[in-house]
Amino acid sequence: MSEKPYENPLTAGINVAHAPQPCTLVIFGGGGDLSRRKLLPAVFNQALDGELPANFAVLGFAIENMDDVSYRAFARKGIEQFSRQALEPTFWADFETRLHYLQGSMDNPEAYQQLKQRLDEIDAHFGIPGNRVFYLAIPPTLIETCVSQIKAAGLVMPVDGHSPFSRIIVEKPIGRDLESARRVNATLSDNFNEQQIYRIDHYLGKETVQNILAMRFANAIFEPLWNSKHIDHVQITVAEEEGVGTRAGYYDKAGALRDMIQNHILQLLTLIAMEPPWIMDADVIRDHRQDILNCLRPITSENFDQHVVRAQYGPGFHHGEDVPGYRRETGVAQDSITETFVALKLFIDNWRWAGVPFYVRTGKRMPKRASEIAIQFKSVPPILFNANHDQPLEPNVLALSIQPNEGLSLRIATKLPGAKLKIFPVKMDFRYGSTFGEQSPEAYERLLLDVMAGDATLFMRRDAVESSWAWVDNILNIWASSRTRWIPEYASGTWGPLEADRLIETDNRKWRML
Amino acid sequence: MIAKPPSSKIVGLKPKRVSISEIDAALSQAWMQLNQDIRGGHMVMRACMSNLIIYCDNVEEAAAISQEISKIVEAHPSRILLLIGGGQPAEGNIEAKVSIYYTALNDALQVCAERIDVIASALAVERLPSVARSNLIGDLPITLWWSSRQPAPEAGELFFQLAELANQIIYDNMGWVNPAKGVASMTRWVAAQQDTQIVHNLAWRRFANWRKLIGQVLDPQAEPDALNNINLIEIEHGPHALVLTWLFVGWLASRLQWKSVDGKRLSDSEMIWRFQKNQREIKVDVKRLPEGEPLLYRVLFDWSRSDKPGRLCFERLDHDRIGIVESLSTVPARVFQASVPTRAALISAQLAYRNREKVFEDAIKASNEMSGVFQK
Repeated sequence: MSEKPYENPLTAGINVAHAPQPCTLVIFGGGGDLSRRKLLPAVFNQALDGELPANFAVLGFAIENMDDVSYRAFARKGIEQFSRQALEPTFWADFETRLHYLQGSMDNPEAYQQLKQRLDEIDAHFGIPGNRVFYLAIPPTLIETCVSQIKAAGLVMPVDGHSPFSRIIVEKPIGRDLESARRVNATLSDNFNEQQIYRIDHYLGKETVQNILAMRFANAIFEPLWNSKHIDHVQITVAEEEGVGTRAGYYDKAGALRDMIQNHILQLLTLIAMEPPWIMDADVIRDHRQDILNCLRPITSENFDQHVVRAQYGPGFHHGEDVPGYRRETGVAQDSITETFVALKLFIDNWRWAGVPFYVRTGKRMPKRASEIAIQFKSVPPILFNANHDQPLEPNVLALSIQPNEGLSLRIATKLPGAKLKIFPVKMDFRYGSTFGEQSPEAYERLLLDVMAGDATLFMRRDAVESSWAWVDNILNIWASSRTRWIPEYASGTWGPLEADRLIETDNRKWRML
Repeated sequence: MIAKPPSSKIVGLKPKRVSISEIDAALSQAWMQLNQDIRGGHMVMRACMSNLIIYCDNVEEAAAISQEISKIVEAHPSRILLLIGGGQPAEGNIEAKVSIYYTALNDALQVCAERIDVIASALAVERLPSVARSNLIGDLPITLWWSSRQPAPEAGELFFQLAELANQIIYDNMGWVNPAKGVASMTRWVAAQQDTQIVHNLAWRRFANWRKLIGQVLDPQAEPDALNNINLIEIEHGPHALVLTWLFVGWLASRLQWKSVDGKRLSDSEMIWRFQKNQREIKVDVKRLPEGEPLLYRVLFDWSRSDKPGRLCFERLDHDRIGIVESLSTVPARVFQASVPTRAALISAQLAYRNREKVFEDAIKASNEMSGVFQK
């Protein structure tokens, strides 16, 4: 049975379908980095913007030795450092009363009983009708224990349309390959209904990503062109300036393919490539995204080198400063062959996208932080304005910038003023920040509100996670079977190795300069 | 030479006085000047989402609106036509001033508003709609913000002609001289509009955070007995907020299906209404505070039964917060962020709203019924 909004005549007209409902947000690992940098600032901003339900509280649950008072100080420090809006003392004094903490070990059943008791007290104090959102901000190794304990403590309510809701948010990575992802999903399914599970990918909460659907399906001019007849190719770039930083322990075992491609980039791809949904319904949209994953052409050992490039950053410059290569980073094995860069050429074998290459690249220590999806349209015929073979017209490009400046641009050809017929490309730029003058909410803010409202549209379903792992596993298995200890290197501060350039230039195309 | 604005900050060019026939040419000239000044191969782009026609009665009100325009266009880039009736043009009966607002966008500039002020003497007010008609940007939604102290339908032909141009009409009932008459005439006029035109009262957005908060706190999941058993509501509002309060009560009555039975003015600052639902009586006591801003200050709900107390009081604590005081307490148990919105914020938010709002229309119908009962 699905979760249904209950009747409240006073909330009519206040977009009830998307109104966050009264609840307690329980952050497992509430004393950790994710909580401090992202979750608590997100909740604070939501409260400041008046977006949170009136009956709302936060309970941090973690091993760190804190109480309510010290947790509030911990939260304050994180908010002062990472919130997009400044901490205002009067508001803080009210806000902090909603923050609570319970110290406990993830594997201690008694701690979960205390948790239950504490939640009941919070419910009574804040008028919360037993609704709970459990956020697992914990290492993947603890998921199984934590989820089973939540269930064993009687904290998971049935999805029957009458009981208070229990929703669980799970952070990536969900597994490190198909087999382990299935294990994680099985654990979640043993304890929660799929409708209660929200697998978060913060990329999907970004304004531009959400705008992909609006741009495609709220404008009549794009969709007729959105196919192999008019689109030459698509480029997706997710470039990071930073090196591995403090994440070496995790990253050296994961690499760019697992860290970026399996989740963020494949999810972006599905939004760009999906067929039009007939309704804005979470499952309908996720079905359509799933169709794209089902159509992804598997990469095999026969065509591997033409489709996959991996590399690792070597020493170089970052904003003019010397930076070490990956293997010299703290916590990285000196003979590591973990990839910090991946470039792929992939195809979606369906009617709409037949023959259109999707070039994808992601890497660390690139010249700038930039994430972009670029749709390059086919060139106009080589006649009339495009008759000069030495100087062909630049094709139209629709570029969706995801970070750091969210927006979109369209490159069109126009005649320069004057007697001569000179055509010049002009970029029409649209930036959320400068056009609307308001700061877009952080992705976590939007996604947390979605969970409180019971909207799973921007979250990954089990089948999507497993399909993307199945596709990525092909590549991982071929790498594993090659037994090579060599990996191409690119200088820090560059756009990747020569091999990546060759991958696209073989097709007479080029990576976009970002 | 233009000033390079700091990133994302709106800058307005100095207004240029022009004759009505020169408005378009003067705007083109301003664009050209910006393009020349920016140089370096960059260009000026225009972002525009709406036409906003603003009508106000005099230059004093126009000056107040002028202060708000950059805030409005920052959130909702628009062409602004500020029409001022009862003004004193430097020459003749009618004249215009044009200006451009822009913001930095990377190395380029983005024009986010073109502003045209049209100042008409009392004799030339009837010419304002024709000026507006000639200077709208095609293919964009048109909103009329009726910022006159006179309830719109009472302004007659001027209002009707401007309203005919618009997809949306925003009015503000703050400061109406005769609230009951204003509510009645506005309700009749709203009811007569076709489905394609949106009519909106700023007061509705002014208490939006009260609606949201009350709706959430008295939610049947949190307070199962409250909504079906309310027997008393006490409201305190500031000066000039009677019509707002009236609309607020109309909202409650329409959502909770109360029928107004009678009303009585107890004094200059207090009135009561009685409503009925399923043989149950609901009393609403409204008091005006001697001083303060035109806001709701306190709303108390009582749904006590002989065997079970039930009472919650919402109080505005300051400009940014509303607190909830529970039964038998005087200290707010919970405090919520609920900033009093600026008028510019209300306008820019409403500009982006493109649908008729049935809940609002039900509320003004109910508030009109209340005025009828009151006039019995």
